[in-house]
Amino acid sequence: MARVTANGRGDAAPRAAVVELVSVYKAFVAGGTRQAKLALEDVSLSVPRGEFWSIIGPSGCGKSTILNLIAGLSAPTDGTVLYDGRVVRGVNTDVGYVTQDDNLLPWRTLQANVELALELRGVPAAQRAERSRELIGRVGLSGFERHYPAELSGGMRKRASIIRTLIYETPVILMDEPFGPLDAQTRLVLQDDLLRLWERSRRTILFVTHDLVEAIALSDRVVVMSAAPGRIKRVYDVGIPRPRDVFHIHGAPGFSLVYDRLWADISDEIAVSRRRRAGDAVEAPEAVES
Amino acid sequence: MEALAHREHVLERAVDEHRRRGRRDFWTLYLSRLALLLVFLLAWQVLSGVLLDPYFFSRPSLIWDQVVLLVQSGRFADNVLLTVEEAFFGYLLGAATATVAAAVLGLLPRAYAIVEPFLLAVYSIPSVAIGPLLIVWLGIGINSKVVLAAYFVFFVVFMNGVSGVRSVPRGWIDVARVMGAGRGQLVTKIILRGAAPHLMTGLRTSVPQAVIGAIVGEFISSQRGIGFLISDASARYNTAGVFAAISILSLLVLVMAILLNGLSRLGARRTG
Amino acid sequence: MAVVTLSRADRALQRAAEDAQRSRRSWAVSVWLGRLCLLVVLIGGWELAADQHLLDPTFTSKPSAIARAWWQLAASGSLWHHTQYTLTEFAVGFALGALLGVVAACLLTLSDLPYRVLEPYLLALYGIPKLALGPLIVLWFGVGLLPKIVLAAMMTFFLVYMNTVVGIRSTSGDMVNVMRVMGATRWDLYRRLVLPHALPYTLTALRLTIPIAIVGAILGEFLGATGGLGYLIYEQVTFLAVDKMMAAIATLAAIVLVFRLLLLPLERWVNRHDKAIGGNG
Ligand SMILES: Nc1ncnc2c1ncn2[C@@H]1O[C@H](COP(=O)(O)OP(=O)(O)O)[C@@H](O)[C@H]1O
Ligand SMILES: [Mg+2]
Repeated sequence: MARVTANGRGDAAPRAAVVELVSVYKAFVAGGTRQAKLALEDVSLSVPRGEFWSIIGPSGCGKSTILNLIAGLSAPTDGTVLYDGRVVRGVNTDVGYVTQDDNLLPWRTLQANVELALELRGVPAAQRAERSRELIGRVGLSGFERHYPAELSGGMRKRASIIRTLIYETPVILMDEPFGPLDAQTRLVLQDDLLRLWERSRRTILFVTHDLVEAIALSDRVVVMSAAPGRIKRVYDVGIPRPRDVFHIHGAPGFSLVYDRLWADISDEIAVSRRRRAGDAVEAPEAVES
Repeated sequence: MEALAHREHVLERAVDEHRRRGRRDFWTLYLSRLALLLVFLLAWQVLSGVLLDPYFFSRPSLIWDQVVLLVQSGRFADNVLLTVEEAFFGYLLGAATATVAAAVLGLLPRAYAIVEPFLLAVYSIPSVAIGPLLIVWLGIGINSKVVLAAYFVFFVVFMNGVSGVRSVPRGWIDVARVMGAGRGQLVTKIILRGAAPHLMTGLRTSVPQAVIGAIVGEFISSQRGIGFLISDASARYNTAGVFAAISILSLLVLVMAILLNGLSRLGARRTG
Repeated sequence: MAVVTLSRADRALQRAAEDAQRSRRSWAVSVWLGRLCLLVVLIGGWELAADQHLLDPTFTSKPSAIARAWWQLAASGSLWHHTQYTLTEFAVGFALGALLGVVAACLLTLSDLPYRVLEPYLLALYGIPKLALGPLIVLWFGVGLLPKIVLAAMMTFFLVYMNTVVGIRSTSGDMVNVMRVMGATRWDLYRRLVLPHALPYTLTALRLTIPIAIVGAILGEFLGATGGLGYLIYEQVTFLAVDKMMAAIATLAAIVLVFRLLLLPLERWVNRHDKAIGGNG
């Protein structure tokens, strides 16, 4: 298994890993067929505290599956998932999860949505309002506190769903293609927002995306996965100095070098998965988790 | 080599786990269902006379006797047939008028807007309430039951039909227009055709309504029919007879539901 | 150049607005005129036909006679007397059925197995025509208020239960997962996600069950009662008093209408966040 830089500086991690996958396998059994299919094969990953990591790979290679394992929403078929040195069993409430759909509650106002996690933790209303007001202001949504999600644009809803996760200050945040369905301009602005929010607290982020430039612009490391069954192909050290300017990331020193090497890897994978899909029958959509 | 072997192992484990859970679920589910039914019937049978007043609650064995008696005496066929007949003609009457009304009013938005409050007013009349009126108008024979059944059916079909006509996308009509469809073609080929799935839903879900309408009509006044069997047994405090007649009715409705499901599955392929 | 374009654009906008308003107004005028005409034709035609003996007034009565009958019933206090019966039966039965329906839906969806075990039986019970149980209910509970309440509750229960279950089970699994990761307990999930999501489904069921709960109560009154609008109607069959029957039927329709209208603002308020639903009744 080739790694450009295995875990950054060699295999013995110098900084304590907060999220660690050790030789993880995950298999799903498709609904009627009783045929098992590997989604992840021998995935090992060790994410140090405070770093921003991206995971990219062709669709269906198991990126979301990795996040679900870390969040404890499903269990590995083999291998272990560790959080802060402990095996993850059941739902892991120490991580925040930003899903691809914004998943805001339609009957709650923007502010009530942002405060949801604090409400669940029994934080008094005054304190909740104070913290939500600050975050809402920081992403430029002031004035929309009383609006319902249906009255907000896609970009605004996305911002809301991000600060809804940031507000309760989990040490680790998982983000699954959060900017997927947005238009290019809004994406850039939101990437900038996200980087700025992150710079303030430097929490650990695992960010799934299919956008190469986005991954480079945001991350310390980029994990490239190979097509099904998902395996880790390489881990890249981005090395572009911070703070970064996402709007001009193309001009940043070292950008094209990383970009070219990443692109070479990914285009291989895309070719493989496309060839495979052309040969495959249509995959069963409703499948039962093993 | 070793990696490949491990992969096989993992896959096998996933399938095993899945199979084991599937089997366990299957048995717990069906055994629990069966057990529940048996416990219920048994408890009813045993407790009747101990905890339950058999005069009010009867017991399964007595109900079965009543069913057998009904069938053997020929009263079963006689009464069931009459109710089915009432429901059948009521259904035809209600469904036909409702379909025509829905098509006409669905196609004429202004006319629909005009009659809407009147429809709402009539719709607000509790269906049962007109039963006695129908007896006065049509007598205690089959006619009053047929019309009551039709009334029970009408609104279900009508509402679905209108919403079907309304649900035909504007785009279909525009496309057909551009292709040069005439008004008649537009109505038959696009609008009514597009409304068909909704209308079918109405036609299907209103079938039990026809039976209920007939039964209610028989409750109000009659000398025959399943409704009569129920109310007659009840008037004689023959609880087992009431249960027997209700069971027969439920069976009738169940059989109709199964037939309709089969039919509509066939039809669904054609009406989309 | 720029000024010219602007003013032409303005004129176009203005014309579009005027056109839209004109066509809206002409639509409203024709519809209301049509309604008025229809009303006059229906009532007037009926009255006239009865006067000219085209219709037999003993059987069809006529609007003026019905109005008179309604007024006499109202003035003598007997209309209110009977309405009270029916209203009580309906209100108590409806509330009871709705409450039980929601509670049952919550309890049964708490875990999968009980739900799937009971599902076929509940469907079977749902399939039994509830009205057909009328005589049995009367046999069990006598001729007082109780059997009517039970019938009204039964009519309400199943639809509310079914719709609430559909609502609960259509909650997005993603959203559930997001909240679980946030640390939500099962109670949190029900209170803040599942029930609010199911509420519009329940309200739809409530709107649909208002008329059929009243149907339950009235059938109960037909089968044996000492009061109630259904009893009033039934009693008139022997006297062929069609005018009184019609008066009582109209009162019933008015009651149903009022309750449906009462529920409308509630539904609108619950769905206030959703522009698409907010408008329809
Ligand atoms: N709950 C599930 N049941 C069955 N198969 C699943 C399930 N979740 C994911 N998979 C399968 O696992 C593979 C990886 O899925 P996923 O992690 O969603 O991919 P990605 O997020 O990279 O697009 C896919 O082939 C998908 O079909
Ligand atoms: Mg995914």
